[in-house]
Amino acid sequence: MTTLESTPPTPAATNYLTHTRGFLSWAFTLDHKRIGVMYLVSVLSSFLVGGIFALLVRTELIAPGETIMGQDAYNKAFTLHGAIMVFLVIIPSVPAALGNFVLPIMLGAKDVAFPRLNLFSYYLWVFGAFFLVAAIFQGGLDTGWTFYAPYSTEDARSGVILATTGVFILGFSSIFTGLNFIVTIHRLRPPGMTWFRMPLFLWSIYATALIQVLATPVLGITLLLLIVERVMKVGIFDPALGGDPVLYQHFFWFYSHPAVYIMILPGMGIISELISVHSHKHIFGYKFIAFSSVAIAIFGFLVWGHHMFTSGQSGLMNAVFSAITFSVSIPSAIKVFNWLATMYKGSISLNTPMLYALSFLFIFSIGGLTGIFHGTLATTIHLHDTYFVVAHFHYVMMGSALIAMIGGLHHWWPKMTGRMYSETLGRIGCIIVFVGFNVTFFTQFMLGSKGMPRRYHDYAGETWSPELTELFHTYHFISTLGSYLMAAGFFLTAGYLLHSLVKGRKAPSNPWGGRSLEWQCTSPPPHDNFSSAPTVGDCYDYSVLEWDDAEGGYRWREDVPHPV
Amino acid sequence: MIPATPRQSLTSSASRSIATRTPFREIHAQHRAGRFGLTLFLISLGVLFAATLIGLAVVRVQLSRKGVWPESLPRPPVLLLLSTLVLLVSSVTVEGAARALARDAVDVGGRKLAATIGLGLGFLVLQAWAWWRWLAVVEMRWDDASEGRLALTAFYVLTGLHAVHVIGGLIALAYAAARYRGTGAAMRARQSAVYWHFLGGVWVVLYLFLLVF
Repeated sequence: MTTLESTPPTPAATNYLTHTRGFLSWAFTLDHKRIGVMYLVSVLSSFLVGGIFALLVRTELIAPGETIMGQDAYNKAFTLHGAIMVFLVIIPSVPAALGNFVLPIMLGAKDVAFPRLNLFSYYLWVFGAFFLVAAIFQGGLDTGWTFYAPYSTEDARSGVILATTGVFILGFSSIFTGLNFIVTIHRLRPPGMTWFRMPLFLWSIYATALIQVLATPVLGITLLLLIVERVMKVGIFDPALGGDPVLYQHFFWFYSHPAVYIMILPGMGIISELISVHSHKHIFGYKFIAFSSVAIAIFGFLVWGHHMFTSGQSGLMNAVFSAITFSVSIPSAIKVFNWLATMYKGSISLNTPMLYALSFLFIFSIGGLTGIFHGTLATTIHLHDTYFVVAHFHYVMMGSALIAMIGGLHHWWPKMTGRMYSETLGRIGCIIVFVGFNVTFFTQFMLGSKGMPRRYHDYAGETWSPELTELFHTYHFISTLGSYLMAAGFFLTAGYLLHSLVKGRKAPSNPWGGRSLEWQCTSPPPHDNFSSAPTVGDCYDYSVLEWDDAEGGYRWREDVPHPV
Repeated sequence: MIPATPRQSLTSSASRSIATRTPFREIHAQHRAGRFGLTLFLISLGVLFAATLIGLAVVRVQLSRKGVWPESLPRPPVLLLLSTLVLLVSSVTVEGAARALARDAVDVGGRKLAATIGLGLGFLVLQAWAWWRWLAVVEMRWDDASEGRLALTAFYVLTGLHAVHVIGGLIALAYAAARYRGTGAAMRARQSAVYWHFLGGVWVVLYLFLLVF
């Protein structure tokens, strides 16, 4: 557990934001902090686009019958919502945006191991995003974000090639980022920072990076084969041409299930930091949390078959994948119990980041536990392709991964921007998002258990009984209102964060009382992060810090000697 | 004044040239990190090629069971034997280049890098020729193959995928060759050589796969 430079940071003449100026100084920057900020802006812009599609989908479902769009437009809206949120938002949000900013500073390093490759990854992301979004203008895409064959192999779906090319490129961006982080963590830990002295956020980023490097190529080649199939008219996945659509599912989920952990593991890493720092208490069960991250990454490679329980997989395979799926709950539960134990008898500050961390605990517990319903072979038959699935993965992907990311954003916002946001508005925003989220998605558990299928744009007509239509209408109406509330929460959040850039109080070096190395440099950090290699201590021991009224932040206690 | 040894001067000048953003304080640490990064990248590419072979093999087995796999297809063009030989020889030359530059035998290293690039280009020409030869088979059997057309196109998928990576390797080699006298030349040559050996190994596996496909 790392820590403090032995002397308090002195404000540098310039920081990374003011070190150089002008568009080109950002466009060609090799500074991991600026690249992190560029990722952040890009990811949050994509979040806005994906969010608008989500609201369109929810608005269509607010009442039976055609509300604002026909079925084709609806199919395209939910596909783009899913593809944008998964590939452009959640996957890069924590590792590429926050990870890029924080990881080298947490290691006391000047930058990531390969700064040029880092910038290259960012531009690959931009390039991939361009292709994915360009699919909208080429007739759109209605295959669902999974690009399942044979939907994706049909000629009429002209946007498929552009979109899959985009995702292919995004995959390489992800691989290079993961590779960069693995080498950085291996080679740039400062003297004294052993593996078990690293902040837990870095453990989670490391486990994530292993998945990025090992699983993403499979997605890449799957999409490439799909493109080959479409261009050459040769059967690989399309049954009409002699291909095997279940093979596509195997390939796709061999990446995409581990990708779920690419999304959630960094979020869990953030939560480990947030809960410990804002409870002002040493993390409980450090090694268990660290190893559980690696265990989740390893299990992640062994459970892809649970996406094919109803695709004609053999009974034996189903049983094996079901058993392994259950085992994922062990490392997940280890984390949750350790976080709870960390908070126990802690001095909890209900700051905005902590509220997001608590939201995560609540939402992730529900998201994780409802996963067991899907892992159970009997219940999954009933729940397959219903809104129960939609609710489950939104609880994990959005309510957990994205909420953790937003918690992390609030946690490191003062460090990134040098400004404090309004705590009052932050707390209100978090509560609105939390309530809005649960109203939106908890209702969908009920919808799903009553049999509402996912991906349907309507729930009235001959095939639906009037009672069922009425029931679904009620749930969909509540769910849609919840989504509007959540959107209002996010707009409020965007508003006060942007406002803080202009009017926010100047941030101290250490506003929350953290002890990992990023809290030891000024806010915002200087161009080179640290002028000398920082000393290493226990990054979860907060007893050496005290509140300083004058600075509005924490400082090293005068009666405690600095580590040598 | 005592003249600096070649290695010292290499280190100090190289340190200046990388001083812009690298987090490493020492050039050798940076090179070690580079080698580690390349290894990870090759593992990633290995997964990519392995997944391709597994996918194609699964479809092939299923189509055979269904009885739609085209029988008595000609073997891949014999030309591939020659291109395999060329690629293997280029592995020897690139290894020679890396070793020569490591012991500061700059001219030998430069020549062997150039030879490797020539052989690499030769390999691509031979592959393109094989593509053209295989086209005759495709034209002849395309209409009968119906569901089993993968038997005809897998050749293009595998050789094409490999060729794209060879082009990447040639760009790396060209960069190394263009700066074979500059600082860090030995490192660039070694990195290119490792990648090139990997491509050679992958090609042998792909070729064997094509023979039994």
